[in-house]
Amino acid sequence: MDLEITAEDRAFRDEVRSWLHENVPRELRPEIGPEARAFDLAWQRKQFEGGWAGVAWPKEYGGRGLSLLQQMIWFEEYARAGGPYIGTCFVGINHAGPTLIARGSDAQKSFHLPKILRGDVVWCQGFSEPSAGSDLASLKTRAVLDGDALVVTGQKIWTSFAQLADYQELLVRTSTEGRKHHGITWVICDMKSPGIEVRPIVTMSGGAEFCEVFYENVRIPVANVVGKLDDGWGVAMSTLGIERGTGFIPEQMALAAEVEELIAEARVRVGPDGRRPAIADDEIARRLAQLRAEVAALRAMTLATVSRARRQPVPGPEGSLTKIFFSDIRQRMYKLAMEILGADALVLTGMADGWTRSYLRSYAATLGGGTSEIQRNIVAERILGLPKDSAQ
Amino acid sequence: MDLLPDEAQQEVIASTAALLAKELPVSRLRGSFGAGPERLADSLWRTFAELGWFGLGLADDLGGVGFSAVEEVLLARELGRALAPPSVIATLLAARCAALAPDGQRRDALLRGTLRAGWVEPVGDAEIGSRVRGRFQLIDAGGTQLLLVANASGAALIDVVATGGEASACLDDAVSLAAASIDAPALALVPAAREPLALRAALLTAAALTGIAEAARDQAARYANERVQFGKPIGVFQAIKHRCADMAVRAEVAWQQTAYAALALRESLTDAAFQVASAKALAAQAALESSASNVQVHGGYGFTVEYDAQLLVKRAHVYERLAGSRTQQLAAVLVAPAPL
Repeated sequence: MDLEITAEDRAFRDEVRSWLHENVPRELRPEIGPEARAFDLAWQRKQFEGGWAGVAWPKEYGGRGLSLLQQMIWFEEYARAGGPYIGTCFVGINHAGPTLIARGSDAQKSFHLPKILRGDVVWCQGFSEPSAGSDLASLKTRAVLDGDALVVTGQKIWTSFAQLADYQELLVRTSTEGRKHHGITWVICDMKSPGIEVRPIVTMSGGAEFCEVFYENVRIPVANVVGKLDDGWGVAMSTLGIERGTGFIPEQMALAAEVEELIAEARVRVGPDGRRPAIADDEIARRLAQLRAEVAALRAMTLATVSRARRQPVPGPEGSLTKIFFSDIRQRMYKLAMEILGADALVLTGMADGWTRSYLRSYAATLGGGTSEIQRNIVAERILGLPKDSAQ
Repeated sequence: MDLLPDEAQQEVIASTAALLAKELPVSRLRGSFGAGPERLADSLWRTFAELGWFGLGLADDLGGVGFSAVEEVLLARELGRALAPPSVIATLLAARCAALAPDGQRRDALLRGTLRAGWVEPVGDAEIGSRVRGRFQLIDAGGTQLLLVANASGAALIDVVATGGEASACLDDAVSLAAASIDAPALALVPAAREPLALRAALLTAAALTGIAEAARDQAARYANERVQFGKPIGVFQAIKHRCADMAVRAEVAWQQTAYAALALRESLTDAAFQVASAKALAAQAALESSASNVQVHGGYGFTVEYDAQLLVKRAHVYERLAGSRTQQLAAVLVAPAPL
């Protein structure tokens, strides 16, 4: 165990800090629509041109080929500099890209990875279905082999930014033989293919990034299959393992900055007694302290994840421990923010210029990327060795 | 940068765990209520000394093994897991206090295991200087010769005979407890400016609490696999499964923060005090909540002295009090400068 910071890492941090200081966009990120896409892609391109896109991605695909620790340093400084939410670039950078690096063919990697890093394209995810949420392996969207194409018919749901996306990581059923985990295929779907219809779903925080996606005889080249036909469950699990392992690092780093903002808020806002600042209230103070300690632990857990990744390239179930903890802190922080806001808790703000819309959005924290209940099953069964329910 | 134990550190963990499993199985404390404080045999105490436990993190030119706070934390975590008497950790700290004090007296006796130290916790304000004055609680000090006391101003050793005190039964009946008003000379004094021993004490109690939280998690998982109701092991049911998963989360939180805090203290990082206070607060929470949850998983049996679950609850409360309670640590967390 060591905290040795090499001269190289220190120089890297300084370099990151000054670049971000100069280049982080000053304007607010548009929350929805083509404006959001344009903003995210322009910012991604700027990072790419500055040499900061894909810090830990292989050099041959346009990344920097640096260590995960340096990637974490980047995210930490990004949060400190108040860098914008990654938005529509999330799936490409954190899901599809890393999955292709791990499981894609050479042709898939050399075609897609540079586009993702350069900010040319937006990706979305097509995993969940109306009847296959937590029970993902029961998915039914059919793909039938017809010559050199898969013909897809069915429906996906909870697809963020489908209406703005160019490509989709899509799970389809190519076989109904044997166990339900068998016969699933992970395929790259071009969102401009004929037969795709996207319908946005408005969420409780007013966002319309969630969509339903309908497929009717959509032809996808077999060459777009990632991994093997019928063998997509393993590919999907590596996608989710990456997400749970290192995919949330930027948000975890951002959370630390948000907790400090809330502490600052509690120093200036009048507390429940109407006279002293909110932080003078013992209960509020204790809950803020608890959050601050927890965010420190979250960072330590992330360092442990990075240390683990150096020893075992394929993320294990430990990522679920961090995911459960992170989502829980996030929600408790926003609940506390609502108390500290007092009367202003009823005033709906934007995402980036206040707390209340983000509070509403925080309800998604224990749902997205696998509910906390599913994460607890993973921890109990795969880390603690508790028995599976035979119905599963 | 690496937060996982290296090979030498894994060896410290494995050898410590193996010895404790043999010499101090948790089951030794099972089955009795009111048996009174546990005092380890002199021969076993000397074995600990021969293994270098009391000087583990002390520099070799001060008579120690030459490791650091990191290896001490690995040891304290195993001591917590085994429910070893808290005076083992107090003696390790006392040896460091004696070694760092100007005259170095009693250092060798503590390192060799011929002197033992117990804990003294201030109740309210205490003065630690050339004399130690105030109201104190003596914890696991029965059968020891010295007492270790530490706060933000410094750390000191005092003679157990000089304190007197009134004994009470302890919530954890394997640990002795007494209350005393003390006004006694410091036999060894280490001002915080020389070294913040109170931080090291809080760190090692965080490690012991992590060990308890991990023991609770493991007991619960084992029982949930064995106990059959409705024709299935109860671990199949999510009500039980998710309790166990939450214990695993709390243990991971407590351990990674404690490990990071140990590194911060070893490297004298500017935020070491913040990191240690965070570790102690979270480890205390983990041990208290997981040990309670473990009783619930054990059902009625967990409420009896026939099972070990209750032992963890009680010891968690003892370590929570030592070297600054959870509430005190949280106060320290909030007044620390912003960690970013």
